[in-house]
Amino acid sequence: MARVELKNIHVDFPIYGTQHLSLRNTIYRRATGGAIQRDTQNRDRMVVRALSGISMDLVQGDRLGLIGHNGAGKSTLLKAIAGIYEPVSGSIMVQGRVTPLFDMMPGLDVEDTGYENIFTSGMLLGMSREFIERKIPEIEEFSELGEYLSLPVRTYSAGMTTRLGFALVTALDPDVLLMDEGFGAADLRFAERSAERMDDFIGRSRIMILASHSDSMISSICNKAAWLNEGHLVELGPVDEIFEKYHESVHRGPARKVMEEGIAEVVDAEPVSASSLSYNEHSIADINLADRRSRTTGEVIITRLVAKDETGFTRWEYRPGETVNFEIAYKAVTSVPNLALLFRICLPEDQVSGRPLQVISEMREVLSVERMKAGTCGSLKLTLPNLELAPNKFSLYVCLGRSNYSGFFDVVDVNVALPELVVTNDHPSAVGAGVILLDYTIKQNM
Amino acid sequence: MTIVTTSPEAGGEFRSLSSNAWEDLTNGLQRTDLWGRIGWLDVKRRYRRTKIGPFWSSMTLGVYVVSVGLVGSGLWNQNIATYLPYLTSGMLVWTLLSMIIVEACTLFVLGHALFRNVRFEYSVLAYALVWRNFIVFLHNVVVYAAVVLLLNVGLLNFATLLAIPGLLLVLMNGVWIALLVGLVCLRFRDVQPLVQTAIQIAMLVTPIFWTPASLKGHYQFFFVQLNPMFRLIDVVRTPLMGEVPTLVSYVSAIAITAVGWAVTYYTFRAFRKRIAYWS
Repeated sequence: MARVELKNIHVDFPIYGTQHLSLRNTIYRRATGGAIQRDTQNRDRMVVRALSGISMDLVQGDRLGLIGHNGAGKSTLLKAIAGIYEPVSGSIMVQGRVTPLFDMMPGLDVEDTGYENIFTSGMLLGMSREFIERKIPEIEEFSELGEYLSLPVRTYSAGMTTRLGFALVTALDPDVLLMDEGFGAADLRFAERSAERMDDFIGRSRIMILASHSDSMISSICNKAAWLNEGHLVELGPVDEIFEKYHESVHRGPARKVMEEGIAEVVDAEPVSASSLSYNEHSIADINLADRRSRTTGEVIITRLVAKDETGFTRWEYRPGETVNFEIAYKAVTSVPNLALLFRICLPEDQVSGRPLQVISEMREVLSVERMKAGTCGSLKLTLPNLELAPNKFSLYVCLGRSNYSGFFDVVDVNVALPELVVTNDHPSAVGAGVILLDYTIKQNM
Repeated sequence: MTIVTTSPEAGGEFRSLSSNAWEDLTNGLQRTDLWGRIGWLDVKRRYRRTKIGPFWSSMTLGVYVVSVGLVGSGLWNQNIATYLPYLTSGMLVWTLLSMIIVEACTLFVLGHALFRNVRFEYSVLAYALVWRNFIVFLHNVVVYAAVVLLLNVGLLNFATLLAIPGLLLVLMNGVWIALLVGLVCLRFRDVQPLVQTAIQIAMLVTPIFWTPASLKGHYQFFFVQLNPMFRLIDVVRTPLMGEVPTLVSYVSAIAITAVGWAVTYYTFRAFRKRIAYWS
């Protein structure tokens, strides 16, 4: 029998800016004590509660799909069940061997041969040498790599590497199988030859938990679904029932309320990398705040920044000619004399060619010439009708500051994991083709 | 979709997912296949597509000890037939120890790609690091063999065999150093440059180029007698010079091992669960 039992687990991700990892800070904090300590506790040592009071009991035959928005805690929950993130409280009991598939080939080194990588990854996934040796013929057959298996993986095409990883992991005998959609199973499952092997592989597992944004994938594989929202388990039950409630709520939007109440519970804990936090479309009030403060005064903070299309749907990918609405919300932490917005669209830094960040377009707007009281909240909508950008990737730089643009209160950009604005058209090769779209006519004389 | 139940007992008992530091250390040690492989592949990768592989390390060491040895024997008016083997055996142990310390700085910092995707004993990374450096050490032994055979075969006797238990002591220390330094460097990122600087200075203030007897009085007590590096080097170098290390050296080396492991175990037990969060 396999079983997974979660009892009231909590997982916290402490956030810090880069400076908080240094020894000097800790020594300084210890040495000065008192005031700074209180200050830093509020400012730096804050924690995003990624999972909050999750309980569930899964038994043999359960195929659970995790659904929810980005940042709802799906991946964190998987990693907690995998034993990678130890919960701050609560217990996880497991019967059976847990096989986490977050990375198709953990420990992959492209300089090593295919065979060498099979052994390294296989052992890291918990297989014994004898087990892998037994599985070698099967992996050879399915991957169809032949002689290539004796060559370094760097000579493989991307497809060949995927085939190797897929052939390896599906040779496993998992008791409890954990899959994140990043694993690429979604694409593979529907590839003809892989589908059968994937089904067989999942079928061999006793319990499977899958995190995915793909409704069709979850409904086709899973018999249960768990709906997560901001780290809470909203409901767990039969797939169809949960999907129905989930979609209903997305349209009605009651989930919004939870988010606006704030996601971050500030507690004292050990700091952890901000890079593990994904950009949250509902609140960025806390994301990498310390780093933001190191560049700005923090008198006003940007609490929300999101790009929406005409129908109000959040997305960061647009076609030329579409309308983009940026919704920005802010909150004055202390009283400020006036307020202005600076919004820049930039070509991101290109480390390959060494091209620095280049501003393409800058929009300025004075939002208030009068003094704003501490605690004042506001929001604004910046509309770009008929997007005149060529297919490319653009980074955004959004700043609130004084009306004479002499001092900045808060900046949100790529350093705060703000997504890039991607402009595409149907032809994939056209991405990166330019910057702006100019109107033109061509007259031909023959 | 069918659920195949070929081995209904494969699940084992219903157990808590969290493990403790002791289980991490012992279960990790038992996974010889895994850390042996990681360590070996690390060496292999470093010297991939070179003709002589890890012997490049021996070459470097060889050229180093011969050139420094010639200068040193002139400078300190030493007999080359005893000074060169002394320098070589000292450098042999020093290279092993210092490389373990320096590489320990990035043990968990670089290992995060692994332990954020799969769960395995963290200690495996430390064993792999020590194993990898031991492999390089074995290649470096060639230099010692060449120097002794060419210059002073008389140094080899039964006492030389004592180098093996001495080396075991050094390796046992290597594991705790790797874990402790790795942990501290993961949490405090500016310890790494600090360690690198400290190692360079330690090389000069530890009797490697110079003999313990050449210092007198307080200096001798401070830089030689109290120097843990000297003790760990001594239990290997003195046998390689055909003599039996002093009891003080053995007692000190064992004490260093015990204290180091105690501190490391305590730290590891307290912070092991934070490793994934710190990375």
